[in-house]
Amino acid sequence: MLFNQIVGANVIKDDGSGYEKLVTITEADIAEWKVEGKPQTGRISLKELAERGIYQVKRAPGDKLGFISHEAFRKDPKANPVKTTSGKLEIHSQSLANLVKNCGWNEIAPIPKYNRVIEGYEDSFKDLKNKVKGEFPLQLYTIHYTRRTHSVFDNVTWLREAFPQELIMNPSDAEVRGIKTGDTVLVTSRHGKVLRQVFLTERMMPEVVTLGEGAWVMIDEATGIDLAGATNILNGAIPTGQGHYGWNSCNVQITKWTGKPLDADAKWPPRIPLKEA
Amino acid sequence: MEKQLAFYFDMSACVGCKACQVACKDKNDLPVGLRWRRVLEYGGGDWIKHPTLANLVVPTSVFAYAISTACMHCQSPLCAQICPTAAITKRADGIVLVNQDQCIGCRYCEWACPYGAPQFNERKGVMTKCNFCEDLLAKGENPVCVAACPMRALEFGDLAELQTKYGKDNAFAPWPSADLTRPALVVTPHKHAFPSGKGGGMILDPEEM
Amino acid sequence: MNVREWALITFTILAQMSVGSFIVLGAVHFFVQRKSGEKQADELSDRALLAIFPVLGLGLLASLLHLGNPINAYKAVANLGTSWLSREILCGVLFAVVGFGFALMQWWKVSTFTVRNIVAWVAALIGVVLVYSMSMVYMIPTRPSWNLVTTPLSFFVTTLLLGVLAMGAAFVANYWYVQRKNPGCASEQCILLRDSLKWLAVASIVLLGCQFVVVPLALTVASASGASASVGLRAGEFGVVFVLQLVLVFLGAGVLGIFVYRAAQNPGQENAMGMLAYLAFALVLAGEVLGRFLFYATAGHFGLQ
Repeated sequence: MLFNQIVGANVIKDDGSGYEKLVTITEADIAEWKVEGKPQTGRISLKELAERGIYQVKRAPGDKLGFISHEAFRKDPKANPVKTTSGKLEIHSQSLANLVKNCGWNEIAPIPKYNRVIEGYEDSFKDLKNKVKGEFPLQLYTIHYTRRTHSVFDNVTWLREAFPQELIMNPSDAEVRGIKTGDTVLVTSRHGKVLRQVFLTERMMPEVVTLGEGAWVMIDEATGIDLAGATNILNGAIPTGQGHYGWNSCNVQITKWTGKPLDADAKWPPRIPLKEA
Repeated sequence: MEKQLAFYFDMSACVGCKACQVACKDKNDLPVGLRWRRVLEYGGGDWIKHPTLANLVVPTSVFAYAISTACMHCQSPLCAQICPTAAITKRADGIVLVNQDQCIGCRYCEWACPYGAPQFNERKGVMTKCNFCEDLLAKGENPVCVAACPMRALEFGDLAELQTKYGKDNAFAPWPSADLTRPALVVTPHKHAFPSGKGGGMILDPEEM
Repeated sequence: MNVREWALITFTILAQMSVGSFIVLGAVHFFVQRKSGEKQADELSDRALLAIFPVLGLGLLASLLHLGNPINAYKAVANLGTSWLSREILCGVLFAVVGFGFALMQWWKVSTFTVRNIVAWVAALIGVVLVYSMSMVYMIPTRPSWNLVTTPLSFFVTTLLLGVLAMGAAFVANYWYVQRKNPGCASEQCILLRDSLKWLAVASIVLLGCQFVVVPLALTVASASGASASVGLRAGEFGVVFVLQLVLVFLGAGVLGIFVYRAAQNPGQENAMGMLAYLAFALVLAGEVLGRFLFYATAGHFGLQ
């Protein structure tokens, strides 16, 4: 598939008049890559692309390679309307609001406005007006964690070593809870509990924590606590429409775990799905 | 020494993805706990509470950047100097190698190295470290870390040539001063990079937990 | 702390104690021999001399325990050119060989007094170089709390202090052994024992003074040269151990030193004097072991680990 993408790569001609093939492919290349195809002439050789890893089109002021989006509309909006209800570029877009409403999950305003997130910042307070924090005072948002692609490869030991599925929080939040980096902590939300080792960094805003999404659930039958830190355990089954998703944010409380500390993920016995099935 | 093989690291391009670390583990089949090349984050800073508005905090000087660090194949390798069995030697091309058959596992080199390069293999009872993928170099290939980096942040070559191309910087926090062992390294700094020993930050290494 | 570090603590303490014992014993033997003749001097010290080397052997064995690959241990002398560790191992082996050789020569009266003397001096010299080499192993720039002049200083003070206390206990044991084998014949030995213990007690108090200079000096120099983290550990996490170290050494060398001296002044108190000497040795040994434990535990590291 990569080869097809390379074959099909087109680059704008120097005079801006059209496109030409970027990569020269020879018979030798086709043989080396063990693919099927036809040779073609392009601007750079395949070897050069592979070595450099990048091809950049040279720009200069006054060159013919400029592109203006919606050029006709810009020159004469009345004669060349864009494909919206008003024929203009819409910052206030009723059609978009209608589209979202017709899906049936939520309504949004026709202009960009702040949409309150379910189980986001506001829901960490029991009294929002007076800023009194509630039972779950922290906002936990989920990140795409480098150990996995969603849940794929979560069981690879070297990746588990490189990325320990840590609960990331700000040192000031940890300090008031008597927590140090590496401590096992219990993360409780309105929907479930997980155990994780905590990692402290100033890169997290105070009162916000994060945990990678996609870990393979491992529930301790005795306590009902997920030991693997799967964020789906913490998030509720909240259906949402456009704007944000139920799995992006939830409110949690974090306490130091006084039971048996967790082993680092890399030390867990490898889980092999076919065997488990 | 006519030639000194060295790594070049573009700190400003590194995103901390650890592809280099995992590639090295794969090629050398390293057990958990051994990281001949590892990626560390260095970060710090503070958040300040707004003086009057409750629940408002502002980040001041919060920073973080990643470094990819392995054996520096130093020009004055302290490890080779102090090893009691002379198991660590420096080749004519500058690569510093551990001869595992000669090593007694006394771990003195572990004490002496300012870069944490020699690492003890519990199962074998000897010290191990980055060997510059010298077997691949002999075949005209790149070290796997260099080959694996998606940001092309790692290069290698003769130290003098790399210095001509990229300059002579070789020490930023959290690396120690280059004066101890004169690492064969050239670095292009991250925009937030602090000189060695400065920055007031911490090495943030979740793998150490 | 783990097996490996306890192996090093054991090795360095026992090796230093052996060197110190050998030197102290040699000095005592020299003065006693001048005052009361060779026979009395031998009776006082020859058994103690023989006892030194099994202890050293134990220490060397302990050092093997810290190796990951002890089969290759004999290769450890392969880098005498640049490695203080290589030099230390060589000196350790040489001291054991020459020293034990001397001990056997002394026990079996091989060759002449003069020749034995020369062998003894050579062994003592090797012992001093051994302690020096041991201390130089720790003078590496990546361990700033070790890389101070106070490291060799404290190694030598420990060497002598342990030597003094160990030999005090050894002479007592020797005297009781002689007494039991041959009651009555030991009255001259008794006098010599008391005299030696008086001098050893004085020496232990002097060396205690040295420790109480070297220990704070090490902390000061460490702070000044940027190794304040290790100083902080002694004040904080390891505070109890540090205080315990100081208390044990003070009690053993200082307080008991005074009591031993007093008991040694008059005949008839040999039992008390002996027990005090044993107790003093035990306390100081425990204190010095704790001190060496702290040395390793608060090492810190400069750079990446």
